[in-house]
Amino acid sequence: MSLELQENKRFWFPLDNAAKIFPSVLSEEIPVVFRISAVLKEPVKINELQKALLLTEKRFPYYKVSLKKGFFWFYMEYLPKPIPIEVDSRVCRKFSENKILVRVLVKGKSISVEFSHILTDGGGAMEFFKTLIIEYSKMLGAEVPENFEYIKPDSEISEEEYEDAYNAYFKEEIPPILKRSKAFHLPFALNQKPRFRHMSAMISIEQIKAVAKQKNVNITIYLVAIYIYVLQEIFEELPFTSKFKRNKVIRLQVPVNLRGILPSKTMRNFSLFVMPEIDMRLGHYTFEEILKTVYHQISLETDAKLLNKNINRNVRSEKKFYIRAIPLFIKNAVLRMKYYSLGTKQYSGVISNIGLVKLPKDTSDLIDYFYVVNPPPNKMLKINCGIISFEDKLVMTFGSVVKSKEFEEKFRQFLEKEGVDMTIINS
Amino acid sequence: MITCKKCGVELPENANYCPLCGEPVRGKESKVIESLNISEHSKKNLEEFKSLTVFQRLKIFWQIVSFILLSAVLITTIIDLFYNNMITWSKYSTSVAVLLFINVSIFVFLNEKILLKHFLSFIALSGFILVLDIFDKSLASATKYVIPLMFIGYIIVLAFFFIAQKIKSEVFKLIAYSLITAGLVNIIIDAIIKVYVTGKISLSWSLIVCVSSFLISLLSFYFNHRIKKVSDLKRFFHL
Repeated sequence: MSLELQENKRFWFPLDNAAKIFPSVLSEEIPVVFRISAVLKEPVKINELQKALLLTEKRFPYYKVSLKKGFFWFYMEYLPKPIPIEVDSRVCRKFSENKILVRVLVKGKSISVEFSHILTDGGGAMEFFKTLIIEYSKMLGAEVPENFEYIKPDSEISEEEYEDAYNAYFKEEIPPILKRSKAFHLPFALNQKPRFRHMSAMISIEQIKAVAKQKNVNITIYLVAIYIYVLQEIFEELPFTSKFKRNKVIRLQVPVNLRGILPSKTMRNFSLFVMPEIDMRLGHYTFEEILKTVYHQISLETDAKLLNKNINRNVRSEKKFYIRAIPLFIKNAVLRMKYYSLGTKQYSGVISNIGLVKLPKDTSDLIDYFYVVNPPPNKMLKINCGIISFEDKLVMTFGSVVKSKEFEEKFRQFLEKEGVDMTIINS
Repeated sequence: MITCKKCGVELPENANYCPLCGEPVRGKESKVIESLNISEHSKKNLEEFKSLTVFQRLKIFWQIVSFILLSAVLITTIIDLFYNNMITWSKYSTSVAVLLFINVSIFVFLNEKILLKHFLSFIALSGFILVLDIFDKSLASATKYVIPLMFIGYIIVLAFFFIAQKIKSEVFKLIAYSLITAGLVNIIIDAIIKVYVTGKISLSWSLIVCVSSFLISLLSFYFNHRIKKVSDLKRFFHL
């Protein structure tokens, strides 16, 4: 099959389970596009980057696809064009029809890749980006150790890389999980269209690690707890008449890269969410209490068996014949209606941590820092947060569609109080 | 080391322009121009024109058209006055020029509002015909069917272009839709003229035209469907 993929240039595949909802809600304001950027120490050498991209894209043919409408489902079809390399002008633009769902953006010292979430998640995109950056550094004379693990341009393409891994892990006889209650949402007024803005801030990993270690948790759990704490503060400051106070659960969506838990080589979407929450009806939570409950909830929910239950719930519905046989335009209309009620209504915020980027030494020497921009939040969610670390630099990027900077400011103040400096690097 | 002034990336030593954004490299630009032997002046003009927005270009077009129309009106009126000592036939050429001017202005200044633009152009044309009727009594009855015909014509042609824009790349679909449009136009012409002549709707020749054009358009749709490979059908209908 992998040979077939290389030779038969007219290949296609159905969308994976996580991607199925995205095409129905696509718009300029909800482009479902995320970005990973590397800011180098020197200006990008454009010729070398172009060469590196040509090498890289040959190894990832399953990313050179465009979104097509079928009668029952959307699907992705190979597009025999190079992955575009453009001047970086606006972040997370929607991909137009009949275009490859990846782009490379360059400006000055920064190289970025933007992927449609229909195609893959942060885990898949990161592998592509790593290959691109390492190949670029090799063009500039960097040495890459033989045993350094990354997807080499001349390595064999495995069939597993483009399978729908959710389906591979689907088991018939697992009970479904219960529906969650509605969650609290930020009360801020929206920006003018185009609404999306982002702001990145840098934190020293050494500093934050030390603080998190004092509390006996890892960095992700520590930041998730701060996120919830800040939301609680905003919730408590609202007048009791506010309609935003009606939903009293503060719940975060924290994506988990399943590749680390369930063995799979897939380069398409393969992540799920854990949803730590606090219930405001039970009264005020101290930061320590939040840390404790977040820690336990995340450890519980990342259990492989429970994740299986979630996969099962998501995949189950698309296995049913009577659902599959509904024409696409009806499915679309239903999914569009359900987008908020099944998704965003259930959580107050999103925080995703891509983790630490590991590169060979020579390649690392070229790079200053990385940052990641989550898909622009919709008008109900309003703000989300993406985190990526490289060497000693952790960069948090807040994506926002609201005018107020209150949330970001409170986050910064909290960290400062804990003794962690946050330097704003772009906004 | 050369960096691009516009996007800030580093270019190879021998680059004449940035491969990313297309910005020419300073210093080398003039050499290229000399070698191509383009005179500075014409190039400057061309560049100025290229840097204009679509609207600015349309405005220039509008100015030229207005000037030509105005001179045409003046010339015909003077000739008419010179030969006949009064305005006779030149009022027709003048009114046509005015109509043209109105239409061009509408299309230039209402670039974005497609519906409004066509509606106004229709009003202008109808007004023109009404005025003609007032001037020339022998044409009076024409308004009764000319204006409805025009109205239907505007709507159908507009609808056709709307559909055509969406399906650019599929030739057979385009043929099919244009045949359907033609068939519909025929039926409506027939109906309006019959109503005008006999006072009731009774279709005759147009039905035959319509049925045959619909049949051919069906064939065209089928063709369009067939030229996609069988594998396309499989992916299109995957369950």
